[in-house]
Amino acid sequence: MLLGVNNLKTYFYIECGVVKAVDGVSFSLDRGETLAIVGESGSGKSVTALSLLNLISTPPGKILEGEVLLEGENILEFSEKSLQTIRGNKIAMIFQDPTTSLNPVFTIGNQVTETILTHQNISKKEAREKTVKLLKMVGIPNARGRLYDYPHQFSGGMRQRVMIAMALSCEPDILIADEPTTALDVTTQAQILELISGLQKELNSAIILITHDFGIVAGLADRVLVMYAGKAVEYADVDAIYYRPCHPYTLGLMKSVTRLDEPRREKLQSIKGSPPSLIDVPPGCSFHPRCEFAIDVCRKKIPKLIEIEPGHFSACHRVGKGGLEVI
Amino acid sequence: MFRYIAKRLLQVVPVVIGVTLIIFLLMFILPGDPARMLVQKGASPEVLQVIREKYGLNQPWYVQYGKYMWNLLHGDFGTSIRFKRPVLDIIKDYYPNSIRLALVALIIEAVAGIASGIISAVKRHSFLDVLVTISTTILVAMPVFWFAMLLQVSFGLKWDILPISGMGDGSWRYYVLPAIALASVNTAFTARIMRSSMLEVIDCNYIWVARAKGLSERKIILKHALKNALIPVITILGLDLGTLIGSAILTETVFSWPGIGRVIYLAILQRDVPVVMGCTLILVFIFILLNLIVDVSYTYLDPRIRLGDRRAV
Amino acid sequence: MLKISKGLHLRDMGAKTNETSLWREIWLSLRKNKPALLGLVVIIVLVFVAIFAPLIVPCEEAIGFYPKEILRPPGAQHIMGTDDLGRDIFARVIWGSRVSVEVGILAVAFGLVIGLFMGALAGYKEGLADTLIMRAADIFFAFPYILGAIAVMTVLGPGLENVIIAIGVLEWAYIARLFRSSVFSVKVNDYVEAARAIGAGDGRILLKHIFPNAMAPVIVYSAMSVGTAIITEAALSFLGIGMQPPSPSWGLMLADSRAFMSSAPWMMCFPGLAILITVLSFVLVADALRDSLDPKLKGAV
Repeated sequence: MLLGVNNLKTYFYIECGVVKAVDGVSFSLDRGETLAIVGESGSGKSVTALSLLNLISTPPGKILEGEVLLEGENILEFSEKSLQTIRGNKIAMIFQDPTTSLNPVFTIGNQVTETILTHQNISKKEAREKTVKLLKMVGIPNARGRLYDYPHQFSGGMRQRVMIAMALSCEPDILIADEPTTALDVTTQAQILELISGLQKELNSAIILITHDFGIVAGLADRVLVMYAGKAVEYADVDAIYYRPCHPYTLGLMKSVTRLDEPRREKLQSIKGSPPSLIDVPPGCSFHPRCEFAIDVCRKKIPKLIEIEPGHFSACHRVGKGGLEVI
Repeated sequence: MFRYIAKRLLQVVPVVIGVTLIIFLLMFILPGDPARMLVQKGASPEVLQVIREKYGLNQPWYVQYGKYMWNLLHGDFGTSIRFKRPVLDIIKDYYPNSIRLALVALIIEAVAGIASGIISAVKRHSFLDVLVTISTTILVAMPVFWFAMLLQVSFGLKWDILPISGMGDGSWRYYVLPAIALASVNTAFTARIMRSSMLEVIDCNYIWVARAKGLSERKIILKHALKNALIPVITILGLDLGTLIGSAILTETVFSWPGIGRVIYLAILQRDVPVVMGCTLILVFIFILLNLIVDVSYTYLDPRIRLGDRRAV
Repeated sequence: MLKISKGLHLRDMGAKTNETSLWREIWLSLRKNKPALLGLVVIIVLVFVAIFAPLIVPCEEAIGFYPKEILRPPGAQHIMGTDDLGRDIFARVIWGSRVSVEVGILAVAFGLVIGLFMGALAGYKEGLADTLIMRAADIFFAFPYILGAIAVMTVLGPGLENVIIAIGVLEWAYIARLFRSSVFSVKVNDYVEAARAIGAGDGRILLKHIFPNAMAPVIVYSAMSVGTAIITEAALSFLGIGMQPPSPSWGLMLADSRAFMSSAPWMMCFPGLAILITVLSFVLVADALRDSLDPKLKGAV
């Protein structure tokens, strides 16, 4: 097992209360595998990602408990110095908004080279050559000539390619892609996703893809973790999720996506209401106010994540061995 | 780049005309007769008349203004009525003192202001941050002349380690106290702006990206954050140099520093129009030049900003 | 995304937004800010001291001549000592507060009246009015502030009223520039368009819709500039062209004390402290106002 996350809890202590952004999430990941973490904004996906790098700013945030095991070692116990040798090197991250993710006052060559020089003991010249190779690999035309250009001289899609080049510069074991295509237009989205999965095969990295869009999960992910209000509500192989969704929330998310295998459907549905404030999470199952199947027990008792078939977990009171009872 | 600078320098012309016109008019509505200030009390009207004619004071203001501008165009700043010396000589005598003092003050301001701003932003809510916040707030509220007097009393009179008056032989020791006094308020403002600029920058996404890249916190702050956070501070520093030269009058008064502020002040009181004009014009030139330098230095700090001419940069 | 780490968005999600008026918002933010509250208390005490100065200490002690009491150090009889003319420093500091309070408040009020009018005109009407007013204001920015004040004072001559006018004349330009840009940003809002659509006149739109929403930066600036005005008065008096002897101006007292810096340091201590504490109070209040009303201005002004 490359990465194991056990009972991760990341809370934020702010003026008006405690935000349980990640509240007991567990999952695991192997080399070459892709895990998709899916949920609406505010469900704790991004904080999960940052917690994996131990990049939570304290205060107000704090990783309360749990472990993040990288090849068996809990990196949450590492010193800042050893964490720095992991970040960008063994675990790299691509961020959501390429327009603000690159430092505007340094050339992109400088920013990519810098990552390489931080983690590898090679000369500046070699690092620069490697940067050119990386930029070519992610499909930036005239890579050598653009080494000395600044971020504002690139389009959004090109900047995200630079970000990917930067993230892959040290051939990381794990690549975390946090909504890598949200800020991009649809055509560019497809290109970037294709690029990421193509490079994954080449480097045999593991990928954690964070998204709110079930539409891009199918083609990329091996396993899927659905998060709601800081908790994992369903965790299964991608096929199981698509064909036997076992949580009303997963079901709701799927209904809000156009599917190619269901050519005719009256209209796209969306889940009623909005995600709860993480300060004021509803008692019982936090999804119950929006759930059409909610019964009394859902309002009182927090459902546990149980295995309903091998490798398929769901946290719902209405779920039995045969799947969601009501369907 | 050169075209841009030339264009900017051409814009000086209307400013110079405006400034000279205002000073001229202001000096004309001032009560008091410059001729009378040159002679002893009770001088005869004939004597006054001779003096007026000698300095052209009996002509209408626009004739005097026209003459002044014509001479200015030929590099002649006129002659001081009070000192009976060419204004250019006065400028040459006093401006270097002011500029040198201002430069020392600017260095103090930049080093102390930027350093304490960074520390206080990076170590937010720490003891050091509280210390910086309290001392900058007090310095902002401190009347500079009182601060100057406190420096004199403590370092000069009580401990007797630094001279408190004049330039002496021009050694660095004479610069220390006046420069600290002159820099005090500006340093406080620079530190505050640096702090808030830094706080804004270290919350930017690219700083988190830099952390995720595995850079050390030191490198993140000193490379990635600093260059961005410095951009607003550089403007302040550039323009402050002009203020340090032009509004040093209180510091100059307390430390008997032979600077230009005091010269302009006395010239205003004595209606010495050519001196006020000449010295103020130089000041305006310095302001405009500094503005230009700040704008050009921007393009080196912030690649998103380009001067008028794209190809040149 | 990363904003979560700041907790800001989360607070937005959790907190209910209820309508609060500008002044209520100001009060709420001041109440939470202890230094600012302290500043406010000092300011109120100062205003009371200025008003009731005659009840605290008779005027004669502040401006007379007492040959037997010259240069007494602080003690039981004169808690702040006496100056070179035997005048009680405490009495002069108390009476000096009158000068500072008057100059601070009236000069800024004067600047506000002109500045708000000009700023509103420039920002609302744009075009020629804007160009003229802003070019006129530019003249005031071309000179260092203190030199401008000196120039105006030489035109007007010394005295309390003239100090007030001189500072007000300089302040208007800064207020006008600030208010103009604020009006610019407010008037493009939908509610202004809506008011215009239902037929509200210019005057009504300005007073009911633009003024209340564009005032925030000006309020912050004004609090700060009361402090600046007090320092400027002290500076002008210090140079000898502001208040004239025997008036008990703090700046004048500091000028007098220069000759006795080593022999009678109490002469420079107390008036200087008085200025510092007064201005500091206004700075603290201004800082708190800025943090709550105009987060974008943080550190600036």
